[in-house]
Amino acid sequence: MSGDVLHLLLMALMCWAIIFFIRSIPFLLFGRANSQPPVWLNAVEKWISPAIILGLIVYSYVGLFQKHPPTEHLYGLSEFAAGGLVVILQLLLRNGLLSILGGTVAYMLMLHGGL
Amino acid sequence: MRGLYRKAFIDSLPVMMGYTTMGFAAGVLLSVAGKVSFPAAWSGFLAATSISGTLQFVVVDWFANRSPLLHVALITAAISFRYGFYGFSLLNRWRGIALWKKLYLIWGLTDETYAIESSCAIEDKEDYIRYCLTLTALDHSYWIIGTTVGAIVGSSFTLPSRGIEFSMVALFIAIFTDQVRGLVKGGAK
Repeated sequence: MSGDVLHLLLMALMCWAIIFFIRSIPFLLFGRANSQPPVWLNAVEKWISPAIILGLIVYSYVGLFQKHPPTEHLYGLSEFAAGGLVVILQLLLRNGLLSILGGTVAYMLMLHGGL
Repeated sequence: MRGLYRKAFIDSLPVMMGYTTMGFAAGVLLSVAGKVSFPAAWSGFLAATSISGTLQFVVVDWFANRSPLLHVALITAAISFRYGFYGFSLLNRWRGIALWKKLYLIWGLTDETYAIESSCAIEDKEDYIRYCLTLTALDHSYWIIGTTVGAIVGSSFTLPSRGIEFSMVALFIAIFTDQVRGLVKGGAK
């Protein structure tokens, strides 16, 4: 097996292990008979999850700007316009796939058009 | 008994629509932008093991860049954080069942499967577990089929790929929009 394939395989297996572990945390912590989770956990879930996703949005915008430097095309306007389109589509139609497709196609068109 | 499987199948139909189309898109993306040979095999393998929509999109970038494992581990933990809370509301209903059943149910605990399982009103414990197992297996297979077929189709055409990495940003923005909507309304998602 080539090193490249091994790297990809390790990546995939690691993702599996991490995700499986995270999914099993409640059962590992409170799986015994009569043990119950504390109530404050609800509040944590409610606020931390969006905070993490917001962090990931920033993180992926940084990655996007490294690949397509904003100085080359209208100072990042197309990135934010496409992002805005995703928000609007998601608010109106509530269909994740349509929002992702719409935003991505719009962004690809703008890049293609030199914006 | 038969009614139970029937109910699981009918309840899984919306998930079938979602997973086959979303999986298809992720599969196309991996074959167009993942820079791997045999994208269909990778796509199906990732789908069968991790069963995570977010991961299936994000992984394309990591595959293409051959990202370092530590980077992959950290982001995987961050995007999967929410899965760590689903089990809490299923603890009592899944308590005391056979270990292999529990492990498979946990393995397949996606956003959609969780939503259906946690709102299902079947009283009898054995029936409920059988229902959950059937539902998980169905959803699992929809996801594998969608991603694999998408990768096969994606690798048989040459599609323009410049800027396609925006799909990952778009996925996060769509998730965030829904989360904020949930918070504003003050109700659960």
